[in-house]
Amino acid sequence: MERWVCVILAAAALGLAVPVSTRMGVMLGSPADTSDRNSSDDRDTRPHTPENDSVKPIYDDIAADAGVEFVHQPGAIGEFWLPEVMGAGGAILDYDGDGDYDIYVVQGGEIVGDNDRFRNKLFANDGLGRFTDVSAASGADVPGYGMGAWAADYDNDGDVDLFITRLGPNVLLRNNGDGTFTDVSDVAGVADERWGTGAAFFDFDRDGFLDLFVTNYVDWKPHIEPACYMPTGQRDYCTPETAAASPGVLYHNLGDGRFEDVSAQAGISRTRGNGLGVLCSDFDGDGWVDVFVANDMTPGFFWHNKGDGTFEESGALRGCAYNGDGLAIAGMGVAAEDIDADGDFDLVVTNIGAQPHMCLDNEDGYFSDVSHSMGFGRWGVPYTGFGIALFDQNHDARLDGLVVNGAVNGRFTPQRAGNRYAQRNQFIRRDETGRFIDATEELGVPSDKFEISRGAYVVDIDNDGDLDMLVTNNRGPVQLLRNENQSGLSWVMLDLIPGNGNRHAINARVELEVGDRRILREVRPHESYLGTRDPRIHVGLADAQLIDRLTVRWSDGAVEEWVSLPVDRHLRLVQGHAPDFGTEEK
Amino acid sequence: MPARKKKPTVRLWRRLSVGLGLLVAAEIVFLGVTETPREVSEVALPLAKLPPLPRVSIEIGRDGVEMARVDYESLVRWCKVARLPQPPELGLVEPSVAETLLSAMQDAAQDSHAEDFARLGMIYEHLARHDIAKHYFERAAERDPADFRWPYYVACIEQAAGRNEQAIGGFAKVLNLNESYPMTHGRLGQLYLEMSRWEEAAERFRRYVELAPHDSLGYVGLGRVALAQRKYENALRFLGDGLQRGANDFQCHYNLARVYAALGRDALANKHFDICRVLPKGKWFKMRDPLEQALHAAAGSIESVAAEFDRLKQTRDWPRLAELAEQVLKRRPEDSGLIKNLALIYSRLGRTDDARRMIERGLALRADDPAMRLVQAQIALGAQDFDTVLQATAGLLARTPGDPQASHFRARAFVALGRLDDAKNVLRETVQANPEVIENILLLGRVLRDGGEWDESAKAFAAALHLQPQNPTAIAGLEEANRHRDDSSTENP
Repeated sequence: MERWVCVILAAAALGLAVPVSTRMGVMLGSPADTSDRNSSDDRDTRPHTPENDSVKPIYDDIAADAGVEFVHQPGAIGEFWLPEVMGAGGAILDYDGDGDYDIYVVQGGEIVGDNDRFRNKLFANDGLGRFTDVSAASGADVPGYGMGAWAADYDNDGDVDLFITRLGPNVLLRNNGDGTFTDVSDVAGVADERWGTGAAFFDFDRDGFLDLFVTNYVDWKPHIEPACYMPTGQRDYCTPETAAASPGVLYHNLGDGRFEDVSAQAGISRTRGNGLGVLCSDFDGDGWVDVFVANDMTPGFFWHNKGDGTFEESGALRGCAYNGDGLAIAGMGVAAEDIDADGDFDLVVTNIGAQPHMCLDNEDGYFSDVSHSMGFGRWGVPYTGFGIALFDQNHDARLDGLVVNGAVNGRFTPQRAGNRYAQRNQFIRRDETGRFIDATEELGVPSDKFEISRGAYVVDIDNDGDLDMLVTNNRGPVQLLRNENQSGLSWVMLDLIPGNGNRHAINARVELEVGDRRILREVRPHESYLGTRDPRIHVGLADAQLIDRLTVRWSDGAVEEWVSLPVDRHLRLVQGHAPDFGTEEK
Repeated sequence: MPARKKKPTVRLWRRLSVGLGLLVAAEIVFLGVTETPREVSEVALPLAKLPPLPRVSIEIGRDGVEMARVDYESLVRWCKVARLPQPPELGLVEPSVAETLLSAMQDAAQDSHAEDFARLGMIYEHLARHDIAKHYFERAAERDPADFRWPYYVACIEQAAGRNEQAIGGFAKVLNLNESYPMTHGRLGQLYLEMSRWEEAAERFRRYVELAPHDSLGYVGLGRVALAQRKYENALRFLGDGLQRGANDFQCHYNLARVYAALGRDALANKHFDICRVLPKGKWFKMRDPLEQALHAAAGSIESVAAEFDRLKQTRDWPRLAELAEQVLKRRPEDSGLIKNLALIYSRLGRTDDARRMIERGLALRADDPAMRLVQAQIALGAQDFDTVLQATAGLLARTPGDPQASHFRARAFVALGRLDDAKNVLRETVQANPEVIENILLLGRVLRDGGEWDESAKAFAAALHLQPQNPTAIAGLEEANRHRDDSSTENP
């Protein structure tokens, strides 16, 4: 694995970045190996076909070799309790600030009984391809029946903290900045006893501090679980319809380490749903970050941020509560990218088997179901999708993706010896018409590997400029899939650092102009399902040699621009800093 | 699908062994014995040349449900000899499905009739083995190219897999064979709709309307096309026509809501979204498609019995519903929802003891289930067992004060016992908590009337009329209460 040596270069000295804003700065980090990047003549720009990719798969599971050893325990004792099939997720974070991204995975355990021996794990990345289990030493080894993990700098102290949802109560771990965490759940006021599932940090009132949205799935206790059956008459997991839906929670960050539950006054607690995936973005471009919630078999929520501290649920009116046929889908994971390159973020919501995943085209905050025309009706139907990541695997400037699958009941899954819920995961790619197609076999990924997958989180784990993948599996081992991309095409990885506020500038937007293309991205680590992806922005640039213009709209509304930026490197963009400021960090 | 000709084959089930432990394995051998000589088709094999059918072992899970496993290696060998394609590994299936499958395989190997291949296709499709199902339907179509059903099933498989172009081509072939099966047009319309081919979609839906003028599907399709084309007035007209034919068609309401939302008429949009939310969704296409229903029935699984139960719920054919529910319950012994339904069906049939036994069974499984307690109260009320009603509803109301259904049953029990004041108190509390539940307001009006509280009774009926201006009970109640109020005011001086 390549070791990225952070080299901060003076943009002006190189003559690469030319400021056009009065208050802007760029710190250019370059991989040490930029010299060995293929020349344009050597680039392998062939489309990936079984012929030219058959020798070596594009993705290689390195988890065990790298020391990331973790097996999820669902606590299944034959009772078919609903929580057993819903977890668990994980988080990508740089907990020690060394520039290498680390891995946090959430454990299940026993639903009833002593859960102390089942704990979450933190694996520290040494940057050389090895991970060390630092769970106990760091204090991040939280016990309890966990669901997901969200990494964000909630206290604006420059290091990344962790929020963990569980089958009650939830946990907030404050990063002490010295490689350890302190449980501050009670002090912070976020230890909700309900069954927390999805979450996302975002600054809903633009006060510079990250607030927190948490979904609760259903009001569940073991004794209310009825017996449910497969069509064959075998016992099976119930649907969430057998329990009462729960409202979500909005916590306002008071800026002093405490959060206030403002769900009632903000309007969030008025409506209940079986909440899972959460994604926060300013979908309608009004400057205020909205919240989309993927609900499982209840209508999806669009919480429109009215800018006055209140939200209005308008999913049905905006066309994202139901699919085109008027059905509330079994919404699980969620991702958003500018799929049609029209300057706003479209949504993809994963769905249960026998129904296509839902792809929603965004037009000024109003959505239309384009699942079939975008190809989602084709390859996703046999599987139950959970985690989803949309990213550019081979830097050809077209979005690819990974959808991880695993059934929640035996209804839609041909039974498999030993594990009737296991399914294969799917790498997706866009064909020449722009539709997404299943490219799993094309990428040389074994399509006969079956797991009950839940989380899918992109991360450049070796800082080599392409995106690797962490996949969490219910009752299975975690997978760390290293991207063996050899396309030689251009890329850039952006690490945004705001002048004030949280470390990763969550919800800051970036627009790149490359030739006649405009590419929109957002710092949005909290998407997919039950977890956190690499917060850095990765963009595949195909044959481009230069980024003509790069515009950042920071979370506080300020806009900065850079022109003529180099490619094939990690760039650190610091808000409000002049270009030569970067030389000081050399 | 028409009934098949009975095969001259006798099957003998023989249990060979029974194991112990959590899984109990037993083996069953299917033996085929030819009784009469058969006409052999070009690829068919006489039964005598076929090896014995593969063995089936029965496994009993800890929940007591029997499942069958067809020995895969012998199944593969058998298919090879029988010149049938290699089958997929099925894992565990219902014993009845395993029997149906092996029987159909034997028939297909011997006869090679289109119906035999199609039957295998149906079973595999029911088991979600789409590729081999498609293969068998294609073979059926080769055998009988004039029968539209087999290419129809192939096209449906393509549609379900999202292979829209192939599905469109397939349905086009179907139309050449039978132009008058409405669902071919319905499915084609849906496909064109998904592919944004508006004019072709509209053409198919128009034809659907011609063939099935009393069904809302075609109008919904036309409405969706108009909505996609932003022809909102047309959309409103089509969807209005659809509503006349299917007042409870959730797609009608949903698309009306979308049209109103597009027109910025949010209040109307929300009204239809709200209606849509509470309407049953069901299988919008399947319930209109006899061929698809036949497909799932062919496998002989308990799912088709459950599906028939669901379909017949509206018919109130209580004896048949009881029979179906009993069948399903044999395979799903702890299905509390079905237990509740069966208890209510027994109650409707006047089989009070059976209803009570069923509720006791349900309560043994889920003593804390409020819905089970409600059914218990409902059944006890019908049986005039008022003590049980009061006991069941007391627990429910302690947990959820003012619960409208529990309050209703409790109040009616009090009324039957002549305890009008208790009934009044229960009803006042629930009406306060749930002012939109008209049944309890009307009952309160009647209780007050029976107590001679005419002013209060009039207020209750007036409140009911506020909710439903044409409600006949409320109108009559209010008139009666007003009459008595007038009489008493005349007498007073």
